[in-house]
Amino acid sequence: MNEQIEQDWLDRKLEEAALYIEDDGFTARVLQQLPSPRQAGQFLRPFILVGMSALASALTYVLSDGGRFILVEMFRLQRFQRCG
Amino acid sequence: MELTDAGLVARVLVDDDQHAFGELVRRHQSSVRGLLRQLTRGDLALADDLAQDAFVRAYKNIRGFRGEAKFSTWLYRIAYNCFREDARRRKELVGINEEQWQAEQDPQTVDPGLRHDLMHALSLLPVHERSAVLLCCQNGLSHDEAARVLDIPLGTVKTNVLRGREKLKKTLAVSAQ
Repeated sequence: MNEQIEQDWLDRKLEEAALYIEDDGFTARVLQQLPSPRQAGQFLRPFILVGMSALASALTYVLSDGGRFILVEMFRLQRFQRCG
Repeated sequence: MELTDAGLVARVLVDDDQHAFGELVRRHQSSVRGLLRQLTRGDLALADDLAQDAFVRAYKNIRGFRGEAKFSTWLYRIAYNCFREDARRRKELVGINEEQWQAEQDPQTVDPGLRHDLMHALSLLPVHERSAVLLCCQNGLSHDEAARVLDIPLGTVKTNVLRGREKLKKTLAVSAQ
């Protein structure tokens, strides 16, 4: 019983000894050290890039008549090499 | 209406809301800094550096907070790990000679509160007993929560608290004579 009273007294004293510590700019210092917040949609950036590249390739393919100009140019190059 | 800690954590997770995290820091800075001040035996500058480090780590690893324990318990664990890593670097955990420690004390850097008998007695406890007593008797953590913070078995926490209390009582009795 006496031991329990002593224990409670000690715990109370320990709690009382824990004074509140004023912030005094501590929070501001922590916030300054945080990494900059993620920008919205930043994780989408690689997907957007790949999508745009695929779209551009598809558009080029269609507008160039199924890539026909590549075949023409390759044929011309081959002929030029043979003549040379 | 004031948001709970869990609500603020959710805001940090979903919107990366640093204002919400700032509110969490404001709420817990006193207890975390207080714990570290006593773990570092009143070295205010070191305690604040460790506390800052702990909060920055908490922010970076907030996805690791699963809500199984209180946010404060999770935070204490990070703060204690920061202290332990630093202490390991300083070889404190391998046991510093108390007389050597007393001789090394610079009165300029010691919290005046530590001159209080109780704080002095607390600072004389070995680190494992001091941390267990601080968490359970001063910060109101259960033995189970303290075991999670300190990453030691429940039985060891109970033993450390018991031994720490006994030593505190003895030291206080001697200083009262």
